[in-house]
Amino acid sequence: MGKKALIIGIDGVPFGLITQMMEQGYMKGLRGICDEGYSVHKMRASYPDISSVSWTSFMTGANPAEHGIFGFTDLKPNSYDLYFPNSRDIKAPTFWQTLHEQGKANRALILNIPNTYPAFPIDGLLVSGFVAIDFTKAVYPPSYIAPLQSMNYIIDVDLMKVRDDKDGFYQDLVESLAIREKISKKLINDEEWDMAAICVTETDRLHHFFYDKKDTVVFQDFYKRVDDFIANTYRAFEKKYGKDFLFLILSDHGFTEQITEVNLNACLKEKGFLTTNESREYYDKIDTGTMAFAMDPGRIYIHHEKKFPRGHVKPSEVGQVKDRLKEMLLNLADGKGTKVIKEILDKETIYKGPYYESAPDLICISNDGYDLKGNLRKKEIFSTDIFKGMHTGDDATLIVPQGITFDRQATIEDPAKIIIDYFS
Amino acid sequence: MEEKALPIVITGHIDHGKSTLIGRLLYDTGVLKEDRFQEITDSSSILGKETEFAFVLDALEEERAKGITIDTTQIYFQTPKRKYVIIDAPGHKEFLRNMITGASYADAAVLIVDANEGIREQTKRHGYLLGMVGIKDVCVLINKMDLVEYSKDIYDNIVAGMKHFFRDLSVEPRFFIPMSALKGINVAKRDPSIAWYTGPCLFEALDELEFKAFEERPFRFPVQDVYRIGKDKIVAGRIESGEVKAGEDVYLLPKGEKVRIKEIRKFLLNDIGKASYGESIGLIVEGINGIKRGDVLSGDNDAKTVKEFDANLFWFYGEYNKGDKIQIKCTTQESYCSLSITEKFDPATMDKKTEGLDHLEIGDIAKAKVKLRKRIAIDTFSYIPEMGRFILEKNGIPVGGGIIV
Amino acid sequence: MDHYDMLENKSIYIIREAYYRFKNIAMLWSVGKDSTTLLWLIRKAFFGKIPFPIIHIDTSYKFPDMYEFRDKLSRDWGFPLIVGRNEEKLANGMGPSTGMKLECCNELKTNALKQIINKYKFKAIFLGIRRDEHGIRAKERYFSPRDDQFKWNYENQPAEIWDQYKAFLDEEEHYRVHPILHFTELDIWKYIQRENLPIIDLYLSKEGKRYRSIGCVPCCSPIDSQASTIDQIIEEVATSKQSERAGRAQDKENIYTMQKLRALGYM
Repeated sequence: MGKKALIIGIDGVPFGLITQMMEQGYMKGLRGICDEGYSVHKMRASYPDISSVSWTSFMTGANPAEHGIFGFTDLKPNSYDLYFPNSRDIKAPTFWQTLHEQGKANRALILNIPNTYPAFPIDGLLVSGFVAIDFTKAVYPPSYIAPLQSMNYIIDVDLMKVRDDKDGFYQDLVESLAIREKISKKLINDEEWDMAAICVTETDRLHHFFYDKKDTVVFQDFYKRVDDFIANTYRAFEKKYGKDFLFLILSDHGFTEQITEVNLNACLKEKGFLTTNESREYYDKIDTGTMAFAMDPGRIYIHHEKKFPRGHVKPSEVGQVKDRLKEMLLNLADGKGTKVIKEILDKETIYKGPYYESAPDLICISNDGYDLKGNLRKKEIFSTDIFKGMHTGDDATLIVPQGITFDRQATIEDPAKIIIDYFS
Repeated sequence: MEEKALPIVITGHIDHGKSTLIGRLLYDTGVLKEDRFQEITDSSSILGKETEFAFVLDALEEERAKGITIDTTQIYFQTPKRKYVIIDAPGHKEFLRNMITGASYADAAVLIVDANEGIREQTKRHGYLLGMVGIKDVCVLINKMDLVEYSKDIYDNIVAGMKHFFRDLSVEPRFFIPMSALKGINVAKRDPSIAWYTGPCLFEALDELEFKAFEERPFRFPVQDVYRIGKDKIVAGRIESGEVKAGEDVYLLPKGEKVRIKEIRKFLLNDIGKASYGESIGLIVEGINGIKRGDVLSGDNDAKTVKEFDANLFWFYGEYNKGDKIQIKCTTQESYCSLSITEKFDPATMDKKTEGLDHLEIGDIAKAKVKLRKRIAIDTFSYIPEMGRFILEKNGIPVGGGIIV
Repeated sequence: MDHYDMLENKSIYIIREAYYRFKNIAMLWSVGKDSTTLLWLIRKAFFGKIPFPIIHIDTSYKFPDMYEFRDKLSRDWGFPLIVGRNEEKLANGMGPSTGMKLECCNELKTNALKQIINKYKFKAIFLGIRRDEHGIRAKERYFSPRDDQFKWNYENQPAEIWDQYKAFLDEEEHYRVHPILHFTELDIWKYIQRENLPIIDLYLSKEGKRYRSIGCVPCCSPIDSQASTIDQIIEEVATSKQSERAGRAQDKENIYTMQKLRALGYM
């Protein structure tokens, strides 16, 4: 029997919260596992810190300028045409593809990792995670479709339900997690895998809508269930393959309580950086005279002359536009005078790779509680909706064997390297 | 569309395996590739939509691009003996309505029952409907036998239940086939998994059915109009059954006189030797002077010319009260008529209603005797469907329809 | 009997039924490929004779080729042609630049038709409308003349010229007969090829452009195309249908994706 690896993903679980849960006794199973030789690290997520980008960085061990995914939404080159990047748009190989090609590892179970839709060929089984629309396109190979269906597999809960029926929604999360656990265990027991990477996304959903309850039984109860998931899956894997396997747990970003939404485009419009033609649709609204626009969650694109049909900012002008933007945004404050933006990063400091040109020019990092939005719908700069939590980028979680250390902060690109190293 | 395909309708409770069966039929006859078949065996998506027939059609569109079939709303498959076309039956109301208005027609039916779940209400309803439209050739498929470990006892139970239920209708299912559409057992070929079953598999059963394509049935030509073109009187209409040759003798109904077809004509084509089912043509007819719209030219004298007949009715607009003035239209024939309702059915449950036989409302299904003021030529629906279905009108507005049993 | 025979037989049946029922009937001819096909089918239905008038609504902005083609065909096929023009509005300078497009269409097309119908007291009008004209997929039931015999099912298929007339014809309760509803765009082209029907040159590519539909000059734009023969047009139409379908499927997925993203606060 060759080398084996088990990776568990817990979407949106912040370092601080999981260590707290372990210390306070709500995650006894995980605590016990860690005592056997694992340490917990704070990990830097991708830029921007949303699931599709971060999990792709995890899968490929590369930064967005290498794998090509910069958000849930993007614009087609030289146009304002909106599209939704999916698995077909990932430009770098995943760790399991690399290992397979090198002959170092074969059958992989990849379950529910975001941005793996549509399901693509694999030696093993791939079940797509969010955003997946058609179940029959979310499973490779298709022979698993019927069995998964018969076990009532759910890719994602009904997100609209939470607006009318919070209790029902919570129950859905509990059920979905239970089904995922059941199916994971069955797959581990019934079939042979060299590696299994299984992701829980219910945590992210819980956090989005209930983060104000993080110190209550609502969370404690749910984290106990997550703990069961982790412990049971770990033990099932251990039972089958013995103690000697690589084990990792990671999240793709952290979370914090949301104070308000900050609609960047509304702000850019007010301050004269963006003009729109409301008779057109989506990002086609961007009109001549625009200097910059935003996309979710904190991406800023300069309206370059050569890059956009109605763009006019010349290369010589870019520096100036950026300076003005930074000055304006760093001074943006809410009604109470608290600054919204913590820092603004230039693309050259964070992106490197063949798709550098497609990258956003600036990434805004907000202060905790200020949820940056890139929509073109909302007209007010500050708004609220039903969401109680928002993503954070510097406190994702990474749990690795004690022998693995980092001389700078761990990043979301590290786990893939660890896995590849292990099998090599 | 190709002719000579035996039209069959596949019906039964929604979850009992219809789309899986269709996928299996297409896969086993080489129309669908393996991965497409896999897609079809799962008939719901994340949105929880019941995809059924439409989904199968979607999946087929790629195949269709290769030019296999042109018609985009029908699915064909071919056994060694003949070609079949699957007629959709989305819901029983639509099914009945389609059969009555001629939007679709089935010669035979396959009724699916889930071995695990057994006979459901919907199963019975579909069975009733098959009886209502006079489909005589019914194959009952006891599907998902793999989920009950191919138990003969379960099979026998279901067969007994179905036989009991069908006893009251004028339909006697020809075959009860235990199968698994998912696993391909007893669909295209028999399988040792069900060793105790000695009957035919589905393909064999279908191939055993006797089927006459519309071209092979007796000649029926309802007259649409008579045109004077030059010095000729041309009798225009469409062949609703069978075929006709120039020089042939036929009967002019309802009178019953013998006449001769001198010429068959189409624009730019004089002296056509033969024309058949579906063709809109012109005829030069000898031997009679007063041919008019509403007459029917018939190839033999076995079309019934009647002033009353039994029918199964479907009411779809307005109300009917005993004594209302109604008009019947059967092909191009028209007459005033009255109805004597003998039985009514609740369209949702197909339970018999015993009251209110003087009255019909939208959605009602009923058995009735139709009495006409003048004689018309008809056939039973199962024999020649075009001559066996009719529309009822009140004040020029279509209000109901029916089939002649 | 092949596919096109079947389409043809169905159309001829419908045409003959409508003529029997309404007697005082006319056909609206746009001189485009669909209504010219319908005209041909009418000729077939009546063995070469067209027993009722053919109406051409002339807005005066039509392509010059069209007038030529129209007059020649009416001579060659020998049918009575009624040309309708809203002379009054034209004299007042009505056009797509003076009025809004809608108003121009209304006055020069719809009202011109109204005038003709009132003058001749037509009870029903034949129209060359196809079911697939606005991308409505052909999964619905066939239009069949036997569908409630004579209860014509109007609600479904608006198309450009159709939109103009529907409301008016509705108000006044004129019947509209659609004998080629079941023909697709591709069917029409293949049928035109099979029957060798005359069509206007404008449909064929010249200098990289051709017209997909023919109307009034100011409001019609050509598409990029190299298809200069009917064979090539058929190939072009066939491929574009495939990608249209694929496009629609993708559009559907995109809409659901957007819904899901919105539910999480994005977009």
